[in-house]
Amino acid sequence: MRTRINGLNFRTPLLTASGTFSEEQLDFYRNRMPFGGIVLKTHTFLPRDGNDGILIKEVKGGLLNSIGLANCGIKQFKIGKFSRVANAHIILSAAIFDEKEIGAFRKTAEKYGIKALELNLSCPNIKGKDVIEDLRGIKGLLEEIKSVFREETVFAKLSYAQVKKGNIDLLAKTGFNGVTVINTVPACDIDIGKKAFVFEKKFAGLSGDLLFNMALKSVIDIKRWSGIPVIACGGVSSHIEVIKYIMAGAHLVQIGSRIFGDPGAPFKIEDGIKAYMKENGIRDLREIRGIVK
Amino acid sequence: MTVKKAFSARLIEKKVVAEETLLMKFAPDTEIAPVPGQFLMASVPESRFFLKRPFSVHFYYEDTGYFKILVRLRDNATRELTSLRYGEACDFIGPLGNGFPLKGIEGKVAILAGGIGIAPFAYVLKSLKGRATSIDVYYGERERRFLVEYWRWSGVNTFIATDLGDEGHKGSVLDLFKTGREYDSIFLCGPGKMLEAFMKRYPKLSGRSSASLENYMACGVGACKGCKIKTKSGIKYVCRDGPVFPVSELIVNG
Repeated sequence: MRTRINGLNFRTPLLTASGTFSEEQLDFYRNRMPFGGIVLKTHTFLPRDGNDGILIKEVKGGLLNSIGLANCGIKQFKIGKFSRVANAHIILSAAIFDEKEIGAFRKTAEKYGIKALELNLSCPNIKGKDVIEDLRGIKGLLEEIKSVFREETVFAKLSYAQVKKGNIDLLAKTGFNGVTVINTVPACDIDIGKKAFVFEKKFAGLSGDLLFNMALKSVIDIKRWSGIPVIACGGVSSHIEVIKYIMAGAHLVQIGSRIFGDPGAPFKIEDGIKAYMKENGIRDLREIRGIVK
Repeated sequence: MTVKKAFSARLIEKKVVAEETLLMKFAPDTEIAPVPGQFLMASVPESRFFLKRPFSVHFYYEDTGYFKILVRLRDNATRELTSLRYGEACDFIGPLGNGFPLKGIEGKVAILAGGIGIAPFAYVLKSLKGRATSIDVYYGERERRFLVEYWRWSGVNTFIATDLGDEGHKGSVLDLFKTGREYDSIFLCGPGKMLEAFMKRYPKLSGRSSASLENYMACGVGACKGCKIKTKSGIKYVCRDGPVFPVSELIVNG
């Protein structure tokens, strides 16, 4: 089950997806840690209150959220109970909009000995900060971030619309150690009683089962274009999606909003992967990684 | 402080207690020891819904560890939950949240419940009995058929109001509250409109009042950040910082 990226050993290929895991949930994993890494909630340089009104709604096959990166700002970040996590890497998630902000993230990573960073380039819920489809527009910022985090393992989290050969080539050339695909997909819903959008900001991010096949295609596309490691994210509810992602070429797989409704799902997924490997005589996930091209 | 767990519980009793309202009693596979006012997230195994739904702990039996939840049929998820049969297992997360501040409570207590907001108060009353010198329950509903009928507790003064007026006072339960009785503690749970009306009518009582709030939430533990409210001391989350808040902290339309 071990997976290695840029010198970091992940005990299992399972990560939490950013925004779906907080220290309160560690109670569920006190006796057993199914994750190889925990990706923290995205932090920005400045504190953000997030959006107002209804922020969460379940829809068929998934979940809409309009949280809007609510966070205390990186300078106020405290690692809390995550400092006691053994056997799983803590991965800082960062939305960085300006080169001047990078230093504060660097300080936080150093303070807590965090060795990996996921750069969120794709949150759909920020007003006035449209998701940049062509990353060439922020090439300088990306280069600066990777140069400041030269020794660390840095992933870039992309939306479905950002999965383009040009973007992947740029990230690989800039030295990024992996790409996470995909972030939530922009979506919306209507309240037919009120004859209005459900969310104050009209649009929200869609996660859940509906994303799986889109994200799977994204993994396939990226592996066709590049050797950069892929961290798959979207619609994982059982070990079957994890195996499919690995067969498509993913190194690591994130479990996201499924954890909300079923904190026990990661255990079942880890057990399911082990059972699949045993039944099929697989000793190392490398034997099946990227086997479907 | 209680430790939250993901656990399974078998349905051992189920009965209709009002229109579209079921009382469900469960035997958990672990000790949960909730405090009054805490809640649980629940869903049937292999649910066709993505998220669990929050329910107040309606009652808890310290001797057996059994607990009850009161479920109003609101949507297909609550219909799925209430279709559980005797002996079948249900998945829960909990106990969650802070509960009502009952430590050291004595004197005259008032409870204001609107609709399914009555849910947490059976367990609250159990804890208050023998400590409060008097307990008045103000219970409002849309109409008689939705009133949880067994709500005739001994030793408790109950005041009923219905919007339709087919039981008790016709109008708001707050109309009955104007009794001039001096309460030492007031506990509320009900629709946002009831809480807002209370805050507007009785600003001087906010210092001795606590309200259990409801909001959309995905996780129930503080991870999803979906149940945000604005309070006088900043942003809070209903699941993690509540569901019970001092009324003096709340902002109308917050």
